[in-house]
Amino acid sequence: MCFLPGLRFLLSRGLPVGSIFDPGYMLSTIPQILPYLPLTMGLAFLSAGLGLVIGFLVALVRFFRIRILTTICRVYVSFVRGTPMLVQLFLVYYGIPILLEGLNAQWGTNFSVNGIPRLVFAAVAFSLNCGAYMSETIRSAMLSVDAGQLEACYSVNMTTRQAMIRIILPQAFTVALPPLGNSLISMVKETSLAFCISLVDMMAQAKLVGSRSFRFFEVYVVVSFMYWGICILIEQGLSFIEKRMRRYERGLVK
Amino acid sequence: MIEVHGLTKSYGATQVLRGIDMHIEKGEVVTLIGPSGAGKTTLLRTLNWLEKPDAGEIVLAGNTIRAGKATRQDVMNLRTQSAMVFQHYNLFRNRTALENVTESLIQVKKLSRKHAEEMGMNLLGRVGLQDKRNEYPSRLSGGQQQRVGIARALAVEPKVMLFDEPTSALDPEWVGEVLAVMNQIASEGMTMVVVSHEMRFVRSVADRVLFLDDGLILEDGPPEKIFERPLHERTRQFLSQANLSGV
Repeated sequence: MCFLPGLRFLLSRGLPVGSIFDPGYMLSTIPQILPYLPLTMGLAFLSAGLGLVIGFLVALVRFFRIRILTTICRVYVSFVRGTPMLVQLFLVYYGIPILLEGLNAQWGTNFSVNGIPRLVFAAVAFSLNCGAYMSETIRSAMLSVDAGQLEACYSVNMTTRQAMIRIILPQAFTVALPPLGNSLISMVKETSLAFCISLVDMMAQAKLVGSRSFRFFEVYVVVSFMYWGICILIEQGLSFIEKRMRRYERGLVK
Repeated sequence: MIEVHGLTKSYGATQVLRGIDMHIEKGEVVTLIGPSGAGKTTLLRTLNWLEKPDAGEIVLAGNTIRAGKATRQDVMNLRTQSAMVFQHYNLFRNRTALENVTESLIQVKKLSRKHAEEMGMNLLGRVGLQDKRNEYPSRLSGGQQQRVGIARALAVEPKVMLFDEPTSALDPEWVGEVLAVMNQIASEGMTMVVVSHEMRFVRSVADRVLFLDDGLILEDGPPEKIFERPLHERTRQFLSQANLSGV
């Protein structure tokens, strides 16, 4: 019975009540939701990109067991993995202003909280989240490269840095690519949480459009296909890159 | 060419090297034999500083390196003079045969790509693999991989070449081609230290055999002497068990 108020609302607006599912209406919402697709994709790729950088640095710290930093990184990864994304988003959203005010009070700086777009809060939260997961992926990929490869580098007098850049990391990246792709795809979908800090992304826009007509199902069908479409494209791109990266591996007989 | 004094190394409570002293002349081919766990591979790897000894000193081609006091520069100097051939080849998997050889020429010796590739092709020629230059290691047979490994080590232009059981991971039919390359290098006067139980090689090429047992050099002498008139009962026991005596 809970949909009755909505039904009455629809009647008062004079919208067609007869159709249970309205494909025409559904298609008509696409132009309203589509303009927010670049924002969603941008947020996802930005966060995944920054996450990759964070994850890579954390993985290096843990791979080489750099003192103190290793402990900090472990706590960071553990915290991010042990708390919900939504909570992290709120922590960043409410935490950064407090941090800036604290800085202003302490050092007499003049950071303005109001000047920060919501997109930045979301990107910071998502990057930190993504970075933690990616760091574990990259670290385990680095560990999967045979120790003999590094020894061979040393035996021909390459430095650790050269060995990493030329030999170890390219091999590790090949191993890491599929799970990193997973993280990217997760990120695309998790950006839909940005609505919770009032950032109007694709999901938020769908909700807004839906609330005008109360035909939520139709708009969510539209938005689900948009997310799916993005993810299919990413999958295709990744498998293309993976094939190229694996060209030195022995192929399996089909 | 190589002087080793009082080299020791432990892994936890296990003492792998218990005071190794040895002296190897320029151009000598020395093989290390002994039961597994005797410390042969560890000794060889310390000569390339892939293992850090706990105590002792190595003088290799005039460069002295002391355990505990080795600077980065010492390690670099040591590694410019010695090159390692690994049991499991350890070729760079993401590099072609030619790139495996040129990698150190370009990265370490800073040669131009063109010059490096010329030298690389020369070295691949010496191991008879010029036609495989563009193959990745995964497409090469074990014997071919090991020959690329040797070419890669030669690219360092070392004074000493270290071989860690270079043929023990190979199918019998590929052992010959690797040994032929090693014989060739030996005949050119390279100083070589080889961990190997490959009798064909030990008999035909080695000038000296060192028998290691339990972290110490137990016997030292020309192959005929070690195999036919060993000083120690332990050596005789090992040789008969390993089917090496009187072959």
